[in-house]
Amino acid sequence: MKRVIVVASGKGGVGKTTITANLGVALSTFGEETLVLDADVAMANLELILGMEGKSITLHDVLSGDASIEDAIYEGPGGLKVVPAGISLEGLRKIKLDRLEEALETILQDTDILLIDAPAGLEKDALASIAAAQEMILVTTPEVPSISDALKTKIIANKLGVDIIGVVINRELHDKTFLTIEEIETILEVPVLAVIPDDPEVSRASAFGEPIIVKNPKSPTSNAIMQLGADLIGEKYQPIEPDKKGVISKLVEGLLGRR
Amino acid sequence: MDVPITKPSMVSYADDLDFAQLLGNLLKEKHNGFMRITSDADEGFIIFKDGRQVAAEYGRFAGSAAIEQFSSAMEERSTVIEIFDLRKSHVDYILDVNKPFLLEADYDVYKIIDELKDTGATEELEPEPEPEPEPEPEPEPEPEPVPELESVPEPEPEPEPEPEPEPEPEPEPVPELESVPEPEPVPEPEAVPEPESVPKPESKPQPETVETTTETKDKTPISREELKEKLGSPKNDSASNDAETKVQSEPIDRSKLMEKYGIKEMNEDDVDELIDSYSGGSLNEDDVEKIELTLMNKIKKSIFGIPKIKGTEVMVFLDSASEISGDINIIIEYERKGLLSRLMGESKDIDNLRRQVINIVQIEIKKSFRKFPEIVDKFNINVEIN
Repeated sequence: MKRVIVVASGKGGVGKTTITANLGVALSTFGEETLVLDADVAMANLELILGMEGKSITLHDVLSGDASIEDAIYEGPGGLKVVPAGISLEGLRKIKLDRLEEALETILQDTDILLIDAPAGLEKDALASIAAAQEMILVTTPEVPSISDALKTKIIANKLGVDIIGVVINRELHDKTFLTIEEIETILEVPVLAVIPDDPEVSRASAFGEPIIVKNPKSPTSNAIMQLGADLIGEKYQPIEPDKKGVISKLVEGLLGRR
Repeated sequence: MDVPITKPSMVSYADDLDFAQLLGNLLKEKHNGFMRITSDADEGFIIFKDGRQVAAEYGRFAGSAAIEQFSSAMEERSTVIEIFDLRKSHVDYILDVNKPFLLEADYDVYKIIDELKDTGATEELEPEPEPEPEPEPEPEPEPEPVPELESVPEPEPEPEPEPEPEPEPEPEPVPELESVPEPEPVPEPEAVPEPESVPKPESKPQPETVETTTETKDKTPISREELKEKLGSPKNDSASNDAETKVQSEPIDRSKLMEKYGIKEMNEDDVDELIDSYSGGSLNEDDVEKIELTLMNKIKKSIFGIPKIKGTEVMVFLDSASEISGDINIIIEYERKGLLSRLMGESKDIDNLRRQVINIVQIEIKKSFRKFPEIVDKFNINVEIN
């Protein structure tokens, strides 16, 4: 069954695009034909995270009739396909009626899962990307403003008839100043799908234009996202254990002559 | 909790302080203000009004749940207690702002706090008399495990009150001041299984056996048990590790939680308004036709308001492919004037009429798309006058 899943947050800067990109790679790794549509035009950094910036043909060109959808699909890491949006999604829903409908149909022909990276906020672009999907994954950090915005997004999505799969808690710090998983679950009234730890490695990976799943598959973040992907498609995932010896201990061992 | 942190009127470490006496003094003084209790990364507040505790927060716990958490904080050497003074009116205001943290009025929280006070106080005071009456060297080995255990409860937010002292009433844990207060919360479930189940009866027999120290120790577990009963915490003695998670696992009241964090639900109107604003961009063909028809009728009706218009035909063509735009064609049949007036300047009248019609159409468009008045610029309006 073809699935169209929108990844939305409400609040910006919670790591939605990072999770979308990595989740896309994770799903691809599991053998699902996955395509990520960058709908976050204002902050179109999906391509940056995937190291695919500067693509000339975008969805906009397709919808303008200047290019075919096949020309706007790019191969990303792990076999993931990416369509840069390049257009205000204010028109996306309308497009669904004419050219977009055709484009999405074409996209979905060879795609098992279409992931839409929704823009932050509840402006038209965001609403359009939510409405274009059948299912939604909410992304939030364990902070009040983020959860408050996620709640609004959830309410709107419900109203638009979108099925909410659950919430991904990103940048969990295990700090008592933040809301607990149970509290977040209670407030949002949706299940917590994954808890992604706060991990500076993610930013480093982005700087290299590489998803963390590819750059550091042993990291807790990668394992958490892979597990999320596995859960989404009902697969089993065996986390990859990180190297137990730290750099310093290795160094010390090296200095002491132990190998 | 929102409280104004200014200069504290008193600062002390928990173990340098007789907590019971402090609370007693605050009550006597009818203190208005608040107490800040800082233990490692945790911070808690108790607001006092006329010397009584009226609101409390500790970490993520509020109200009576927070009170329960203070007990463990009081046992930590590093816990800092600060007293801040406020005016009574200010306290009222602060209480208003911090409603989620209010202690239940009916309550027993006061009683519980009192019990906690007693616990802490007696524990602190105990050690002094203890060494005198008991010269036995044997008890020494026993206190040894105590400090070990002490270290265990420290990270735990809620050390569970088990009456460990019972089996060892006489061998009082003589040693240091710090070690004494801690044993009371120290959970030793296996050591004394019987007392665990029935804490209250235990306390009664004990007083018979020994002096003040044991008595106080007995009281402690009782009060803790009572505290838990009163607070309705379903914890078992043995599983003290996940005290926090247990508290959390209690059914959380969503509305209270949302109130606590100041999160508001969106009301229906806001949701509808948002979706309406969006649905403007999601027209289907039926919608387009309806809008065309509505706009056409409105324009026609308005044009007929102009004198000397004998008839009019209005055609609206909307294009919603990318953004809404459209063409509006209007044909007007205008009442002819006499020959003279025609010679004098009919063309001027016609220009004025055309301008008037265009104005009317623009007004109707703006009225129809009230929230997007700029849309008027995206319409081509053609007026033909016969």
